[in-house]
Amino acid sequence: MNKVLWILICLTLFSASAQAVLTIEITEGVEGALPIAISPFAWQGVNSAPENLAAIVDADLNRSGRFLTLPEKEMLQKPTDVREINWRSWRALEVPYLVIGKWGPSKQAAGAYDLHYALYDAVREKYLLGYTIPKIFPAQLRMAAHQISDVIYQELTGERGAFSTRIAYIKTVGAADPRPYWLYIAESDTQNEQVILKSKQPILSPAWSPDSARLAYVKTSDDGPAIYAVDINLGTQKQLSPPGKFSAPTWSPDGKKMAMVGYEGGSTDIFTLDLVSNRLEQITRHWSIDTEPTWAPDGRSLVFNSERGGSPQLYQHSFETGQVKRLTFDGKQNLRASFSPDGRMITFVRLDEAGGYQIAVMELATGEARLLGKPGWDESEAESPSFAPNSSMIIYASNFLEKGGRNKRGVLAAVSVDGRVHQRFSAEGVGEVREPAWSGYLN
Amino acid sequence: MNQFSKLVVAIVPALVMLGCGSKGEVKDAGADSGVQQGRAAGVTTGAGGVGSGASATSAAGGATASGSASSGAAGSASGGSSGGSSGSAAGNSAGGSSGSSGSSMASSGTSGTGAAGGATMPGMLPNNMKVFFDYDRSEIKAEFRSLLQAHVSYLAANPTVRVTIEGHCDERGTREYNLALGERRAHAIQQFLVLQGAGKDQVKTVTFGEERPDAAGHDESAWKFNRRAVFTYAK
Repeated sequence: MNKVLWILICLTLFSASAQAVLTIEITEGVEGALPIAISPFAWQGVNSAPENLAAIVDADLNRSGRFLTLPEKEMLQKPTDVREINWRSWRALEVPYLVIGKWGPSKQAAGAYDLHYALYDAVREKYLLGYTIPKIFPAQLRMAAHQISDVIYQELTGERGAFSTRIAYIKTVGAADPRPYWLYIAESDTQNEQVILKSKQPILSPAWSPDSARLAYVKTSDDGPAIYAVDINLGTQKQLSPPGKFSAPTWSPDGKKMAMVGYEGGSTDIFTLDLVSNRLEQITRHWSIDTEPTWAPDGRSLVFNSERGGSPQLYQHSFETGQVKRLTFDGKQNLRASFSPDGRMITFVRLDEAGGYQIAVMELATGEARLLGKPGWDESEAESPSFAPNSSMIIYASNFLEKGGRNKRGVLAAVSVDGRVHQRFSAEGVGEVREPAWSGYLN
Repeated sequence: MNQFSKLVVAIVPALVMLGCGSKGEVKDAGADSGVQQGRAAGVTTGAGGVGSGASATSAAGGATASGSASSGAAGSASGGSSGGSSGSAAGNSAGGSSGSSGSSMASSGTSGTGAAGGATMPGMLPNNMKVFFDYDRSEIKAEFRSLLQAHVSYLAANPTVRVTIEGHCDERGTREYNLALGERRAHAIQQFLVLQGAGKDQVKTVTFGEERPDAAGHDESAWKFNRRAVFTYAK
């Protein structure tokens, strides 16, 4: 690929909760992306369809960078049943895969919907798969569309899809205190936002529990930082650490422990807290700053950031040997590591010589780190990268300055793990989105 | 609440260990502030070397020796008051604290210009509650020493007064890193105050990282005001 390919697709998605514009900018390389068409699903109810489900599937697949979806206006036909498919018209467009679907009021449950969809190979004129999803209640409609995306993604790439998952993030508005802070969750495409909690005090560092049912976070009250957890379904909150001196939570893979940072006597070290017995154990013991632990998915190590070598760099602590190994050597600083769920990689932010924070990925087996490259839009700083549960993409906060540098905005952005596909989600309105964290699989 | 107090109990030994384990830290932070004075004086052991926490206290003792030579009336005045302080402050070395408060008087008196606005009368609450730092550093800059000395005098003269040192950062770097850096900044101030004679139990630290900026804006003109430690006296 000798040229940078720019594809700008603006889709307006109408969701039940909010209308937001989803802007996808894909830079460099749809090479190897699989052409596919999602024919608009037939609506079999009265009035108009409450949701454009095909558009959600289309956007999901496109966003992954693994697929190139055919825009609806370029379709020569829009079949909703296998008998309507004109195979030749799809081959003429060089689109080898086609998804059709239909849905309407459920025959089994009042107020719910039944949906049927199928995937076809247009070259071989062959049925590949099809499912009926019964009794979808309105609140689950978008997630049902993401599940369709997951099934198609897995069928055609061989890897599990991560569309029917969630992200959590912090939002704030305004520059002066007191200002409001919110902890949000949304679906993986950043739509269908819900406020999990509001705070007048700064909240930061959201971390999903392994079962994706709870979020740990830090609140800095007048006493200083402390760690809390909120149950996203029940809304119940619990303080996990004593007040004032703890932050940077990360859950152990079995959910029984939490690693965190404790501040005492000017020293900041990593501790683990047993969530059952409430026993606290000191893990690192060094006069320099140790912070931002991330627990390896195999449970056997923590990667953290320490300035013991003179500048913030990443280190790995082995629970078995107690040994600490330095991981990063390039870049002025390397911070805020987060493990890939497959355990093979970490993603982190690197401060380069020019003074910019960029997203980097390291393969732990080789120790080789690479920057994922700058996106095509104006980005003053990238922060808080977090892997999708299938380790294929990374979500992060992309910051930029507006109004001549007076206003800082942060928006959600994502990049494929190979750095080929950059995308930015731009929610309407004002405010700063911070610290996205991708959930695990929900089922 | 029950569970919570259990947690605190579990934490105490860990924090004690933390204290022991961080001798290197004490030395290091000391290098930022008071220790050099102590070394220059070359006098340490006498008053200071009592029991545990010796390394910090003895450094204070050193500072005393250099300071009290030049201080006259101020030293004796505060000597009385900090005698009171040592009575209430269990675990803090009486000799160290009374002596060094004398020294702090002396130096705030002599170098009462510059950032300190330190024309403050001994034992009076200084007007200035903020100390600023260089980017990514927690060392106390020389221009703020006289201000800090004035706070030491006030604390030493008023042993029942409590102060919380807030550590703050500019927005560069990650939020968690800045919480840690804020703690270091607050601790550097606490260390200085205690070395110079404030009671150990008079000074608490809290970090706010980059979460509570003083100045809005996203360049050095704002950042320089946000990299700060703030004295918050209990009312």
